[in-house]
Amino acid sequence: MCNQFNCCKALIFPFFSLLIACNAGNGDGTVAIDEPIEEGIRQEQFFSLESQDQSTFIATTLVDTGKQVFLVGGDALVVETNASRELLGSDSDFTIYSGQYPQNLNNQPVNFSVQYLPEETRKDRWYPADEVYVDVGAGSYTDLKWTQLVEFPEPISLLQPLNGDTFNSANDSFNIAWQDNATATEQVQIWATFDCFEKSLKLYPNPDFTVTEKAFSIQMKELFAEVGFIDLNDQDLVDTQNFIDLMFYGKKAYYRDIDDINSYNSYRYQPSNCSIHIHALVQKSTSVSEPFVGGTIIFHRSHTAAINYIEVAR
Amino acid sequence: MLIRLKIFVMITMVLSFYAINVMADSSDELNKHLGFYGGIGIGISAGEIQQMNVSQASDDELSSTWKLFSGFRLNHNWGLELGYKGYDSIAFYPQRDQVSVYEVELDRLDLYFTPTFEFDPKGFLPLKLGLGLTYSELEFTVKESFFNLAASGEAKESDNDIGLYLMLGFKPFVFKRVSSIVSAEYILRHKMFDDSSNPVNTSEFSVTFSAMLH
Repeated sequence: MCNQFNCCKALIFPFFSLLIACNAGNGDGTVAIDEPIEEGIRQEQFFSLESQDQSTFIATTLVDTGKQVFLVGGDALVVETNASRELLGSDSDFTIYSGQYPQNLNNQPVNFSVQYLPEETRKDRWYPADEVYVDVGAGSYTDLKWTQLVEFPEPISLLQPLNGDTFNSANDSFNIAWQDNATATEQVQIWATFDCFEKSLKLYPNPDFTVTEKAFSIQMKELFAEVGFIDLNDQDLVDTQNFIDLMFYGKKAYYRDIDDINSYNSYRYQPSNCSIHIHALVQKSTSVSEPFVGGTIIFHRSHTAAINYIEVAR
Repeated sequence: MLIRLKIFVMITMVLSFYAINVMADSSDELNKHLGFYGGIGIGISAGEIQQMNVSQASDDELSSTWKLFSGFRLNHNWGLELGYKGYDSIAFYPQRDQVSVYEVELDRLDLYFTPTFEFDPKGFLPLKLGLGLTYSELEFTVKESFFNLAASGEAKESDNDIGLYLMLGFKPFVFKRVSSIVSAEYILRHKMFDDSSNPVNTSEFSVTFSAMLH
């Protein structure tokens, strides 16, 4: 299932990965590009509001003098308003601290702080982790705090496709149309996320699509071609894909090893039953102020429709 | 893992019934011995941990167990028994989350006290039943290694509480002042670490083979 949280993650990870790559370079914390390392802490932050939801997705990453900040030992990033308080979890591979805040935060000041919370950060464990834990003490980023005013762009409305639209052939076309009040400094984008193969795809702005009057048409097979599904009947392609997965992504070429090869392959590479979310989003960005030396804050508002692709042999 | 437990039970039963045939006068011998008795036992135990907040139970985790016990037979049927049961540690596979990689070990000790009821249906198999209480100790040991931090450590915490004790045993061998008993025991340690936001229930099902001296 692609819930709102997962869809937001799918959309922000490419963004944050790029930022982290630019700022932190190699995994060892050194900077790979020929730019001077900024002394101090940079902050990249992402706020997302889906039109159907009354909750705000928040993601934050911090980079200290060219090195990703990885909170350890019970330090947590806490987000608070007058109404409630949440801990942002982390994706340990990307050091992105993210979570769904159960409130529409538009036009509200939101307080962020790094706090040492050894019990709360372990509350999902299966044993009484609040009573038995190794106490390493607060890390070097505790007491870092800042306030951010959340200002989303005006709503965007996805007119087509409609929720639940179903397509049965790769040759089927469908329209994507939307309405927005974006200003010149705000960007409109159309994305698709796939549940048949967890992947996100930016459709617009894209030079391949001619957009007039905030609408364009696209065929299913164009979507699948962009995502990179391959034809399993072509053994050369399968072998190549195995090699790429193994060499570049460090993945075991698992789809050749598992018992149920056929079902897994069809799931992985031959879309026949997919839920596809089309996101119309408008975003604006602002720069970061004290106590940070730089960074970007993105406010992202979206409207999503879920369509189905169920292949029917003809 | 329960297969090992089942095999153990089956072997024990086969040996026991063999012993019954050899010592057909067990029940007569049994009835001669009133007063104090004491013994030791070893066996195998399947422990289960149930989280109270998320209603999840672990798989049965097998470990060896031992016991020391002593009792007093008041008459041919009734008695009182006090025992002490220890177990090998249960070690769980390391897990990781956003804080650290952590390993958990669980140690258990039970002091039980139970009235016992012994009878010999049709002179065939001397049986022994017990329904009592335990005073149990549960200790968690957590070893954590932290990401990006040259630090690791260990923490221990234990809790004690009253639990439930059930026992069903039979005595396949009674000879003069020595007898043996094969018993299935169930211990429920209810709501341990109840000050925690994540209290746990644990239960222990064990089969032990004991030798005792009257």
